[in-house]
Amino acid sequence: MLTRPVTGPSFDKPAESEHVPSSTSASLPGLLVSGPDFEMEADECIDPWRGDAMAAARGDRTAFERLYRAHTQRVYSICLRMVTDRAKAEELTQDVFVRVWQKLPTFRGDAQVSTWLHRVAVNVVLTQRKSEGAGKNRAVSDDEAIGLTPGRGAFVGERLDLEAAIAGLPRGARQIFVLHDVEGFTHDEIGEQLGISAGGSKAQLHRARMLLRQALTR
Amino acid sequence: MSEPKHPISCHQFELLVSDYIDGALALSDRAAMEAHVAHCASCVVLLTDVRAIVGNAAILPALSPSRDLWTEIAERLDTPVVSIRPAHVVPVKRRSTVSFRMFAAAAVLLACLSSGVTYVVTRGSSAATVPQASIATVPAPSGASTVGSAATDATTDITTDITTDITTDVTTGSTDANPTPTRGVDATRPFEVASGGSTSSGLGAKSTTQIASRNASRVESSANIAYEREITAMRRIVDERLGDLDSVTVVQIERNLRIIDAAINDSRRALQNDPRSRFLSTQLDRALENKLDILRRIALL
Repeated sequence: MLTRPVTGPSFDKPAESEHVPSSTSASLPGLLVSGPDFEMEADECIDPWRGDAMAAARGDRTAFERLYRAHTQRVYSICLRMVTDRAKAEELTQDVFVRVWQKLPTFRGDAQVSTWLHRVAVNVVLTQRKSEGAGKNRAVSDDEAIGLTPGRGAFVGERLDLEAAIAGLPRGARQIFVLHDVEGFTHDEIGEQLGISAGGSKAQLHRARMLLRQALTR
Repeated sequence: MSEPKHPISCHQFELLVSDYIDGALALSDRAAMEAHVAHCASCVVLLTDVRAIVGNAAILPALSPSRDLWTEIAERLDTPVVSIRPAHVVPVKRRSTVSFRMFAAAAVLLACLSSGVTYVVTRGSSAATVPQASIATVPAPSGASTVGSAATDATTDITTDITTDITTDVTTGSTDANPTPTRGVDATRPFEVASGGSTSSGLGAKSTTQIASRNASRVESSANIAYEREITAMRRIVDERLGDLDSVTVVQIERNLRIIDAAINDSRRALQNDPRSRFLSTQLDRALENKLDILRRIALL
């Protein structure tokens, strides 16, 4: 069951639309690329957070706090699943909202606020990962990744095992799995974000899935 | 559904299973996958597992931070500078520039250094021959018999003094059983004589150098005397020529000679304070040579 974000002061706001990642490689409407699908949805749907975003862009901290309360869990989830460290994820979550606050005046409203905010979160995480440098984060081999993931008796059903298995994936495979299968980004979008080809993203995703199956069926 | 033309193996099925689930396969490949899974139990399990992983990943619950982060975020909102770490900080390297003054100072230093080194290298072996050679090659102006005789006298004096001094030192400093006095040998090649004498008498090159060094000051004074004599003789000729020259030219000549004289006096004073300085000695020699050269030119006007 999908957990609803804690809305805090803005609990009376309309609920953030539930995230249903695409099971295909079709572009998720309103994500990184703007095309006909996005334009149509932008026209058809009224963004429930647009008012708070506009107010926050003018310096209204109360409105911005409402945005924070509504989106903090989703942002934190992206951060934690990408970096697999709680303290680091919390630090990154703060960075994301500070970044959002600074960029809100430039937000044109082309995409939904939540979509734009999640994109900022991914960018912040990826930027942070790049700044750490490849040398500091030793690549995890496939065998090591399987060793890191917890074994299990029954199959996948328990999400706790899946979370742990995702955390045990090699970094590249984990990022792409989280972005594609958890967050719903397309391979084109992932390739653009990570600076790799869509084919490379597909290959890494397949590898991640196979590693997860291997870990969860031990 | 028709039977696929090219059935696939379990390995191929595994390679394509992600694309199959994501709907990214062509129709023919999709048909081949479905045909394979229809009669392969292990690949059915594989397909089921991967579908479950993808399905569960899509509905993973949102996670909550361990504490409310708003307070810390609110404190950072006032910070005007983006707090996100840059991907890569490239230190700005300050370009190093050389000012004209620094360049000029370096050029002067280099010139002095090269002059000093050249002097040190050549002083030991040719200190005695330099003044002799320079004086011996002084071209006597035509019709100036007094200058020619003065130059001859100077050459004779210098070579005699040097030969005498060096021969004496070699003779007294030698412990060889067969010392060969060099007095009376070719007086126009004093140092070659000294070297030859020392070699034949068993003295090493080091002792020869020491001898030359000890005699350097005497050679210096002898050279100065020779310069003075030559300059005095040339000055006499120049004074006679000045009466025939234009007054403006004469003024200019006198001015230049005063400048050179000042340089000579400065060099002499400096050398008195530091008599062992070869650099100052060289400077004095050059100043004297310059004055002599100017006088020669004036005499030929």
